[in-house]
Amino acid sequence: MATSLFIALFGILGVALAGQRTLVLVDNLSVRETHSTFFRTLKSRGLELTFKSADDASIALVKYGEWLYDNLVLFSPSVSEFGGGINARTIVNFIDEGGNVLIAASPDIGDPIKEIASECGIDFDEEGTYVIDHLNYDISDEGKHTLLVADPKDLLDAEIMIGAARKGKPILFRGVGMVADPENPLVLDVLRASSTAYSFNPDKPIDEYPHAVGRKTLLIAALQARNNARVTFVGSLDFFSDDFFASAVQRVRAGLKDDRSGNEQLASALAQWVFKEKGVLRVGEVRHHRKGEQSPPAAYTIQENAVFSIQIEELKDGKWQTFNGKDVQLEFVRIDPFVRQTMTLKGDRFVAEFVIPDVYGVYQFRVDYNRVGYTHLLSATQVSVHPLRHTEYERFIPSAYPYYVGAFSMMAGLFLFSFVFLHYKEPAGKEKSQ
Amino acid sequence: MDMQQKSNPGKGYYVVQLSASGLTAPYVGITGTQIQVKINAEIQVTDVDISVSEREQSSTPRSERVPANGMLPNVLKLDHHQKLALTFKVSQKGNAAAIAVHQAFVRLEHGTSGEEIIYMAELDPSTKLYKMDLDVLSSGKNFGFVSGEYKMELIVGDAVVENSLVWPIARLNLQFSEQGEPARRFRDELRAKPEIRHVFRVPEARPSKAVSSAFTVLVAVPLLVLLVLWMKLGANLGGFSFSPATLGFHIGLGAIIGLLYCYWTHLDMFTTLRYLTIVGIVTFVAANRMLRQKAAQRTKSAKSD
Repeated sequence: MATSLFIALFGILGVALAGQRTLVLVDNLSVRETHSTFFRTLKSRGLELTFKSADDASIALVKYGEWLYDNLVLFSPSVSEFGGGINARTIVNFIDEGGNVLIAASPDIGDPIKEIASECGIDFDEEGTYVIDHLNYDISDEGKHTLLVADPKDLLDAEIMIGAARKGKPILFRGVGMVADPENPLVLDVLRASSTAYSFNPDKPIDEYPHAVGRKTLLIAALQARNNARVTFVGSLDFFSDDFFASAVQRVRAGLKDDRSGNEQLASALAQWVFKEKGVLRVGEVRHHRKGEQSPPAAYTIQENAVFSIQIEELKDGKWQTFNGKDVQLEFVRIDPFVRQTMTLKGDRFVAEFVIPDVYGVYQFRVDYNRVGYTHLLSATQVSVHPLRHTEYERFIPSAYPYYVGAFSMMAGLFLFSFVFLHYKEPAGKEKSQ
Repeated sequence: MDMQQKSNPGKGYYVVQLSASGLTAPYVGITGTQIQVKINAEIQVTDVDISVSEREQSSTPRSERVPANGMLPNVLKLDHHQKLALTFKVSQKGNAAAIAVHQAFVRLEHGTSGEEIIYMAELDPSTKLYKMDLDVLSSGKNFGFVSGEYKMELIVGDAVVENSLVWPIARLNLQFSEQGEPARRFRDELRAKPEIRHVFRVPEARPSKAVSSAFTVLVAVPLLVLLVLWMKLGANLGGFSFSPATLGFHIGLGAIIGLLYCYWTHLDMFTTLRYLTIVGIVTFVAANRMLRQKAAQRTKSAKSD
C-alpha cells in the first residue's frame, strides 16, 4: 500500500452548526438595546448570544480545558481591564485555537483592544482620535466632520466576505482608524477611507504626521489566521448601531440622498463571514490511481497515466454542498512542481488526469487552495514513482536488427562449422599421391 | 428669534449664553443656558508657488505661480539632483490675512499604479504661509523608488471650513536613482498559478528503417560468403556417421542455440539456466562419446595403413 501522508488544515473547533455559542462583551448593557437590530439578525441565523459586561467577574472562556464559546463579539472598546480570568492574552489564545472574534472600537479605545489588534497585525490610533474627512462627511455630522460617508467602491472586492455591499448604499462610519502593514499576508483591507481622510484628534491642531492618512487608513480590517480562525476589526461601534442602520445618508455637497445606509447589509455579510457561515471549505475523500484502475498502486512508474480526484465541500446555509470552484489546481510536486493542472468538476469531485513525468522520485499530489475570504485548504498525498524495470524497456527495435542478425548469424555459422570441422574427410587421391 | 450680528466674529467654536428674564407669569425666565455654536467660514487658497532647484544650490530659485483654479501647464521633471519647494497661503474669503487650517496636505498620485503618497504642509511661523519641501534623493523610499508621472494635489480642510477643497496643481515626473517595483499586495497573488506541463525528454534520434535494413543485409552477407568459400575449397561431410553420439551432439548444439533464441524472445535467466544444464550435460556426454569414436576410427585406419 502506498505510504500516503494526508495533511489537511481545517482548524475549526467544534463546528456546532445549530446554535453556535457566542459571547458578547459590552461596555454597558444598554448596547444591547442600541444595537438590537444587529443582535436580532445574529440570533435569527442561529447564534446563541450570551451578553456580559466586559468587566463582569464571572466571564470565562474556558472551563475544565474546554472552550465554552465558538465566537466572541467585543463591543467594549473602552474597557481598560476585562473581568473574570480573561485578558488580551487569553483572547489571542482563543484565536490561536480557532475561535472567531468580531471587534468594534471607538475613539475611547482602551489598551486591551489595542493589544489584541496589534497581536493581529493591526495598529489602532490613540484614544481621542477620530477618522476625519472634510470632504466626505454626512450632512447630519455634528460639526467636527467625523461622521463619514464611505463609498462602497472602497470596499474589498470579495463577495464572499461582504456580500453585495459593493453595489449597495454608502456606509456611515464614526470612529477610530487603523493601519496595517501592507506586507502582512493575512490582513485584508475590507473598507478603506478615502484619499482625503486622516486620523487625528479633531480638537488639537496637527503638529505631527497623523497615524493614518488617506487610503492607508482602514475603517474595517479582517484577518484569517493560518488556522483559519477569523477576526474582524471595525473602527466604529456606531457602525453597528440601530441609528446608523436606519439612518438616511447624504454626503455633503454631493446631493444624492439615500434613504437607508448600507450599514446593515455590510454588517450582516461581515458577521456571516466572521462566524464561519460563509466561505468555509473542507476536503472530503482523496483518491488517486492509474487510469483504468480503481485502487492506488503500491508505486507508480514513470510515464504512466495517473488520475487524481478530490472532494471539496462548501458550507452553504448550514449544509455542506459540493464546492463550485473554477480554479482548484492540482500540483504534482517533488520539491518543485513538475505538473500543475486546473481540475474539472465531475459529479461531486474535482478530477485531474495527467502523464507522470519521466523523472523518478518521491512526489506529492498537492492541492493548495488559498483564496481571499475562503478557508485555506491544503491536501498532500505522498507517492513514489519508480523508474522503468529492466523488463519494461522497449524491445525488438528496428534500428537494432543488424545486431540481432549479427549475433544469430554467428550462431548459425558456429552450428555449420561444427559439422564441417568434425566430419571433414580428406579426399583419398591426395593422400595416396603423397 | 433672529440674531443680528453686530460684530462679525471669526470662524470657530463658540459658546452662546442665553438669558431670558422679565417675563410675565406663568413663564419663568432662565439665565445662563449655554449652547455650543460653530461658525463656519469659506476659505481661499492663493499664492501657490512651486519652485524646482538643484540640491546644492543655496540661493532662492525662481518659482512658478499656479494659476487660480488651474494646473501648471508643463510637467515638472525632477531627478535625484533636484528638490521641489511649494508654498501657499490659506485665507478667508474677503480677508487677505493668512490663517491656519487643520488639514493642509499635499497628495501625490502615481499615474499608472494609483499609489498615493501624502505629505503634510507646515505653517511657517514667520511668513504664515504653508510650505512643503520634496527632496527627491531622500524621499525615494516614501515612493518605493517608483519613477514616473505623479499628479500633485493640495488638500485643504477644516471642521469650521465650508468649502474644503482638493486642488490638482501640477504634474511631476520624478526619476529616482534606483528603480523600484510598484508594491504588490499578497492578496493579489492569491489566484490560480500558471499551468505547468512536464516536458518529456526527447528520445535519441534513430536511423531510418532503410538504413537499418541495409545494414541488416550487410551483416548477413558474411555468412553467405562463408558458404560460398567453403564450396570453393571443397568442404565435404565425408566422415559423417549416423551414430547416436554424433547425432546427439549436433542436435544438442542446435538445441542450445534454439534455447538462446527462446531466452531472447520470452524466457528469463533462471528457466534458461535450468534447461541449459540439462541440454548441456546431454550435449557434453554425446560430444565426448563422438570424439572417442572418431579417435578410435583414426587409430584403426592408421594401424591398417
